[in-house]
Amino acid sequence: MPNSLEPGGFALNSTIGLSIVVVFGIVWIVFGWFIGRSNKTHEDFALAGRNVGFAFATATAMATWVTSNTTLVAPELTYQFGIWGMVGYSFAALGLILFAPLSSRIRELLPQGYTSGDFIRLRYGHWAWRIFIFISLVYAMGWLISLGMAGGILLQALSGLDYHIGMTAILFICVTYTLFGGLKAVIATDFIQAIIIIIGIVLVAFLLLSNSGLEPIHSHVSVEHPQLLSLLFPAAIMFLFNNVFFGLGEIFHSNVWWSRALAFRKKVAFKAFLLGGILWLPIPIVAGFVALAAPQLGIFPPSPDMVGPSVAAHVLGTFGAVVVFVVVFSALASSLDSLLAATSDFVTRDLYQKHLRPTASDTTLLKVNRRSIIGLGLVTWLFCLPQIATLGALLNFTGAFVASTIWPIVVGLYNPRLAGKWAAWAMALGTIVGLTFYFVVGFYVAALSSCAVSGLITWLGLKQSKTHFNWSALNEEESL
Amino acid sequence: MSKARLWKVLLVSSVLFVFIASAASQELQLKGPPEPVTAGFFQLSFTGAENPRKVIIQRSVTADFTDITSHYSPMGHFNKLALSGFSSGEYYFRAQEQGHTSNIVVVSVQHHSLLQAFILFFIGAAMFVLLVATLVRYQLAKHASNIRRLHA
Repeated sequence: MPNSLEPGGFALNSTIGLSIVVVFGIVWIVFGWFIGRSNKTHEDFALAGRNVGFAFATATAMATWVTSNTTLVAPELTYQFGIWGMVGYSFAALGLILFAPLSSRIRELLPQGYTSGDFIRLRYGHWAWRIFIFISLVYAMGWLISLGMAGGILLQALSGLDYHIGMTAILFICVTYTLFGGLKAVIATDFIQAIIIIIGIVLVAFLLLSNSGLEPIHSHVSVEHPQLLSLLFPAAIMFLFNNVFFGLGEIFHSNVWWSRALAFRKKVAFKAFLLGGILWLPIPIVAGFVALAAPQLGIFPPSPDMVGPSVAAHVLGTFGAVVVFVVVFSALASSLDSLLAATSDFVTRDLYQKHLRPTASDTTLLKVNRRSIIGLGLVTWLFCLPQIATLGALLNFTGAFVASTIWPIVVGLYNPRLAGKWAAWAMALGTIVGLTFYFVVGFYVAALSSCAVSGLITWLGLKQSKTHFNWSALNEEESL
Repeated sequence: MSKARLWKVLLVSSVLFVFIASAASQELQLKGPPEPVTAGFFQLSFTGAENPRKVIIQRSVTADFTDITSHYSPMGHFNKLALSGFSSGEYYFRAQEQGHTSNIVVVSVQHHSLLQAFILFFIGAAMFVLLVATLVRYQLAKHASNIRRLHA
């Protein structure tokens, strides 16, 4: 078994780790600047001119969803929940697959739309919109923080480099190239990152299986950590559908996905999300599997979110560590840039333009959008400084918020009878109940309970309804 | 006792207190989850180790450690480790470093009941089926309406 650990027990020395970050950082920033030269208007910057083709659309859908969630949290949840952890995590692909029909509907109903907030504002009115803004910002910040943290954890797990240096480096790089290139740079880098991710993950899994083998892993885990192989693991059974609804809530509400639906060419969105979801499905299983090898290899990380890179690096030696590093770094960057771009669009559109300056010019909006990217980067960095929770726990906290939006969005996109006040109550009460379950029972039931309550209120809203929404009100004429 | 003598006694006592307190803090101390663990995973941490890389955590099913079932080494220079996959029961842990042994930590693992887990599972499954059925119904209705519009 190759195991060339550096002094200190890490697979890479910290200079190599930092050098990879610097080289990749320079490449992405120059690429972002190169792509961004053609951005002339706010629409170019925020929605890539609404003209993204099928190959880029599929790659960005898949690469954005392969994130710290997949490369770090899938092994974390496998380490905690065993078989169900990785299988359950792969079900998050259902989010992309079920978003495929929604995306074509979004493109059809909101030809001039910019953000998911636009839909909620026009469809449900101001109360529901403000609750939705709050939910979206909590989620976006939670995800941004988890991504920043993941950068620090990755470097620390592989090279022992201080967490704060890795975290600062990845945030700085992603903020800079998103700032230069906007959504065009994000989608173009996602395309390259998707190729790196697929090749890298397949390579790691192949090398791990040929070096370690399945049998020794299975016998050790079944004796020492039997629950990891048990199909009757109570917390894992609870987690299964919770994760499905968390994934659905993340994708259905987030502007990361709405901005893509609005940026893709007509008729491309449906196929791109469907194929992106199918391509994504096996990735958490491959990424999560490595965590099952940890006990047999005597690897007991300080925090479960460090298990994936630690095992891969331990088994595969320095070369494996470099591969893992490049893959996870690409995955983090592909999500962080997407989230920065989509959240800055959301802040510019829903907070600045629609609340403060409805008559702002295109140049002003472009300026505000860029400043929002810097501001979000800074706020994320500040929140990342104290490592407040594990990645899984932090992400699942936001599950209580986002799962409450699933029913109001699905019903709101197709059924004209749901009124705004019912959608507002569904999101607010769903979130409150989800948070209560998060603290009383565990993170693995937060999204499920939130979605159940929100669904019940949505159903009551439809039963009580006397309204009939006029779909043409969603086609807001813009003069940007 | 004169005032100066009183100050001297106080000063010596304080120095002694600080010395004893710092000596006590150097002892190897192991910490675990104070509450019963409901999901089979938990974190153990230790303080007072001279070299964390030489610390080994031992696990036993009895408090006297006559039968040590497993050994765990923390990763790198970290002073904590995450363990998972434990069945319901009580587990005893202690840390050792070059002849020094820590206090014993008892971790009680009490998984949620399977009934509770399956109730949530079936609620989730039912809600998911309902969501997919709703989406399919809406898509079919939209498709039919598009066809009607084309024919009109």
